[in-house]
Amino acid sequence: MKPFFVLLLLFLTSCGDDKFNRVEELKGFRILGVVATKSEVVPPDSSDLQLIVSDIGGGGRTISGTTKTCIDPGISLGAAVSCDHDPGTVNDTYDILFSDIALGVSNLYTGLAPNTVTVNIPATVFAGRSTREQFNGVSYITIFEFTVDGKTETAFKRVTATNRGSINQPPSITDLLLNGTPIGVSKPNKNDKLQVTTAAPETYSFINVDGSQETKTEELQVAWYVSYGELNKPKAEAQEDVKYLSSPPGSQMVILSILRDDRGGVSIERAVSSP
Amino acid sequence: MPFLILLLLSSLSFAQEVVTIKGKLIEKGTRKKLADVNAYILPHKLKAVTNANGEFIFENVPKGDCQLIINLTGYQKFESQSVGACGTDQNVDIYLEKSTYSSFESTVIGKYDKRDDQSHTLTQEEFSKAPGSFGGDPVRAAQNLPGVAQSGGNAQIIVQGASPDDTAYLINGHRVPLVFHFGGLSSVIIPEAVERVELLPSGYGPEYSRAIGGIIGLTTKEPKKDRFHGMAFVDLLNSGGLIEGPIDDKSNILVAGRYSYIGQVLKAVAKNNDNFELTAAPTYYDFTSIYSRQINEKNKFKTTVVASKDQLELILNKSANNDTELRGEFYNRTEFFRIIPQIITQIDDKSKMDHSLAVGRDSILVNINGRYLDINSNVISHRSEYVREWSPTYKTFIGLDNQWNQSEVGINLPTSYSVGGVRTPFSVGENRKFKTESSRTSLGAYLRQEIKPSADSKWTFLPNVRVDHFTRTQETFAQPRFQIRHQWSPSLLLRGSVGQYVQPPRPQESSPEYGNKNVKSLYAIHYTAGFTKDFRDGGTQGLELTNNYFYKELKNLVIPDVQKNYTNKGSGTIYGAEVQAKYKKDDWSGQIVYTHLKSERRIPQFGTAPAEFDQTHNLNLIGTLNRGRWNFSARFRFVTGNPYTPITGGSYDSDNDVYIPTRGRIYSQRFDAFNQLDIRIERKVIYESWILTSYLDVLNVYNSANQENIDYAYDYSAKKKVRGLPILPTIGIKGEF
Repeated sequence: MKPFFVLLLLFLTSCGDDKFNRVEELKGFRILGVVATKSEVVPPDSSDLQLIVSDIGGGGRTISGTTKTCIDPGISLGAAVSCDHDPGTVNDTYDILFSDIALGVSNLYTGLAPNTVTVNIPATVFAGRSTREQFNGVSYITIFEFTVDGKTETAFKRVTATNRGSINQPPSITDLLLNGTPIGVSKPNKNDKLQVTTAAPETYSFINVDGSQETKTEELQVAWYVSYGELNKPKAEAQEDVKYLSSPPGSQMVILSILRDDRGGVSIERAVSSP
Repeated sequence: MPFLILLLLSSLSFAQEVVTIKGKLIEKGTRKKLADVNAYILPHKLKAVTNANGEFIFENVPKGDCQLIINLTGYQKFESQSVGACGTDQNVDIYLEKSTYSSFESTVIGKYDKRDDQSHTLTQEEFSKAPGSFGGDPVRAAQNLPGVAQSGGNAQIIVQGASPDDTAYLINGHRVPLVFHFGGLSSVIIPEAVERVELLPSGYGPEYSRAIGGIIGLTTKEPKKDRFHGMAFVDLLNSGGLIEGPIDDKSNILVAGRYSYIGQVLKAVAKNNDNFELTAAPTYYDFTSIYSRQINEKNKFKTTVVASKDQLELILNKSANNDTELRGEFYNRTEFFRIIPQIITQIDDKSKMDHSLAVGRDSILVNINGRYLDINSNVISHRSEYVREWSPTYKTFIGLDNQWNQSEVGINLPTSYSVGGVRTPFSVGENRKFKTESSRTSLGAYLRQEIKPSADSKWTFLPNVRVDHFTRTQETFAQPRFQIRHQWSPSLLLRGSVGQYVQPPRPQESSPEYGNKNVKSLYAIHYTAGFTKDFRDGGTQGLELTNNYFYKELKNLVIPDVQKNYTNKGSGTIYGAEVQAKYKKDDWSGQIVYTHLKSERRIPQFGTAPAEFDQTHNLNLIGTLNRGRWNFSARFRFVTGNPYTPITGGSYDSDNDVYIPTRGRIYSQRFDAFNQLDIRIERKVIYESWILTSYLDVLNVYNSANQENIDYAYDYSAKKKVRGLPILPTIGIKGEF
């Protein structure tokens, strides 16, 4: 951990203006998440995947890409994001259609892409897997790839097969608040607070590496995005306030919150301001 | 007539009335009594010699004008006023000022038995004035030595292209978990309590093991015996003090401590930073005490206590490295202590025994938003050595070097795969939560032999062997280490060595829960050759040249593995040459230290690539000028930039909201070359009974924008260079008596 302190020192003494695009500010084409009808399944079963995307200034264009679905090569243990290892890889195509007229007025195309891709998980997914792996889950991955404006965007989503007995239910955002009241079509002013209210997190069982079984509670995390401006905490706990650090734009803006439950469950809430 | 003669004699004796002049000769600033010094009274040509207490006496000095003169080499000449100086009996204390003063005047550096010809040693006198050592820190000063890499912000010493974890840190021969406080600006022991720091690079003797790169050893000093001495200092980053002196005629003690307020500085700098909040200022402190007792003529007892603690707490508002898991509360505490009793027995003039024990505890707690690493270890290590000179041609050193470690480890961390310095984000890793207790024992025994064909032979052969056993991996290694020495001429020493060195895997690598219980020890074969040529003709001025060549084969290196976490499939080669030229003339001294090396690693699947610290050229130019109460020193460094692995893009992990970097060819590119000038200016004010030293240390004088790392945009679509520390001045004052 010693190098951390030096990085901290460097962090402190650096000017901070790194000229990088901020993670929370939407510009151009980005994949922001993937929603699955079921992030966990009891095999054999299937799940439908739907992209959360943004294409600010894209003019509502259709973006075509490909998908590959295969057994997880062990990405959590360091394997490269690829399906090259799996001869049973399923290849498909996927078109992102931006048909949201309300956002198109200001060219702020952001939200759920309407098309879905279906992931089928066979019963054989558990073959050769340990009891712990079968309980905690064995993943299939679907890799999405798009080339937009000469740049290739790659994203992937896991669908996890488990014999735990109960599968994950998607989290949900009940409201998106600005300074404690529903945001509606308002724009945040500088230092205003953004919040979400959510359904209660689920509890679930997990087998640790030493064989002990533990009951865990989901850790709900929110990723915040704005079409203009800066946030103090682009990634936050569900119960945390997030501060908008900029003066609002003179035009329409979009605010997006994506809730994740740490088990593959995703929920989205979007606010579009008046122009 | 006889009456007249008597009257005349009587009047003469009145005319030659005498006085007594006595006094004490004391060194100014240190109050050291100066013995065996000649004092003169002119014009009477009287002479007195000071005794052990520095006292002198002139009796029957003719009353009237006279002048007391003391002219001692190394000191400023003393001349008293002449008018009326011998008018009455006098008892004076005379403070003689030295021409030059070392940094901490109460230090006595004992004679050191240097065993390994290829080792490098810095005494307190050397490291305390070293530029770039940031207040005379011994370990930072060791970074000026040949073969030591420019490690930037890495708070470790990297020796001859090895990995940072391949260096072992010792205090009085016993291993300690770390040598630097955070940031690497200061080592864990106050410099004034250190007698010397020693670097043992490739080809070191059988006394040490478990480090295939090298050894950094600190030896604590012997507390002063003559009287109580003290020292206190304050600078911008920390302050501390030391007191030492005799308890009785056989015992002496030293107590020292240091506290850093670097956190307050960081807190002030971070005040307007939205990225994080420092909830508790980071601090470190350390404590050192040394007790020494001469039990009897043959037995001496010494106990050293060293304790160190670093602590930091902050809240990261934004994810570090855009890694979702690396945000929120961050807490780190690292502490350890060692109690090191030692007994040295001089059995007779040919043999000696040395036993020491280190008892202590290591504790590390890292908590990142509920993910944690909590290690608490009880540590006992033991060393014993019997030295016997059997004849003028044969000497043996037989020793034991054992360690026992009982650990409680609690982990709730994701796995983190790292190759080529590119790490899979923590957010992506598979979380491992467990608590385990384990014990590890490392047993070591060695035999060192020094054999000369004849008493006047120029050749010395050292057929040494060491045996190590590690209970954790159930392995036993017999490691032959052969050294040869040829004294070609009184001023030219040739040497060579070949030997095997072994190192157990790190605990996390052999952990059944987090690593791979089947991982075995790594080992290396070292080959060295070199010479030392002393052009000084027995004096202290002139040139001394040292040249070393080294070649190291690294085997069984532990590397990350996607399927098994870790395997022993890595290997490597390191070779190079190093030159150290030291020159001294009058007040000037200078050094040129240059290392040229190539360090490669072979990792199946990734091929052969430079090692992380493959620094082709490493040049240090060091100069020092002692001018009376002033001391000036400067260091210029030029080092080839470290290799790094380019990141060619990223894949978005939509479940964890983080981009996973895509590696290019590992370590295929390099940072910009490093260049930096550091200076140190020291000024002493000598009072009669104490010395005040003020100093200015400036790191990176011309604010060179040295590249330490690369920072990437959240999706790896853009990057920028991360620069090292800018110009960093520190001023401080130190008082000592």
